[in-house]
Amino acid sequence: MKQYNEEIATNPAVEMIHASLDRDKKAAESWAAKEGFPWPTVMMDKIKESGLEEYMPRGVPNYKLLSKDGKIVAEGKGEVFAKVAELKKEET
Amino acid sequence: MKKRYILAAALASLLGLGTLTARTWTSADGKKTFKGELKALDKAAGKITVLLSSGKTVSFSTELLSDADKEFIRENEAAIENVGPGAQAGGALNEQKIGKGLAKEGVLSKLAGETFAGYKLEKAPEYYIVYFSASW
Repeated sequence: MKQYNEEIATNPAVEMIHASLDRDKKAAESWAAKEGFPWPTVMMDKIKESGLEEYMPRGVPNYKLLSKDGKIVAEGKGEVFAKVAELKKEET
Repeated sequence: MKKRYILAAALASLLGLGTLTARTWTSADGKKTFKGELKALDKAAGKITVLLSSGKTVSFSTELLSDADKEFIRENEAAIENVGPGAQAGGALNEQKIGKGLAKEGVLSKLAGETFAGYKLEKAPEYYIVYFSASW
């Protein structure tokens, strides 16, 4: 959460999207409310429509860094946030 | 939901909200009013999202509002949708493979209080971190 607020929310070049694999919207909502998720969410029933279906992982949690044209730039939490930090350095 | 509305009204009242663009909203029973800036309309869920000057965003059913407010929403539906944050990034998002899907009506939601409300991206970024997860 802290990492999102400090590194993503203020970074115009990156956005974080939560793709929820919960089929039960109430369960997803309760979890998000309990944790105070600050990021936008795509619910399970909207994943196909969102175009994220082709990036569905075999297991969760899973992080992917996608370029705006849909290329997978990094995968896995460590690699994704390292790449984001690298991109930020390149900008400055 | 009613508790949240009352809290929002109480907060607004305590903080003495008011900007030139803020509207004074009235509860369905006419007993409560509060000022806030309309940020988004979720037609499918029948909810609006209002930004209070405290910085707190509240989302609630339009059924909790007065007939005059509901009429205002109906009359200004198109304009209201365009004041949502997504309006600023919409064009650029539609040129992206990823952004295009996320910009579709009803695809994104965001926590507003304890429930999800419709949401539009405020920026058209070069990269997206997609976090796949579930509560289980």
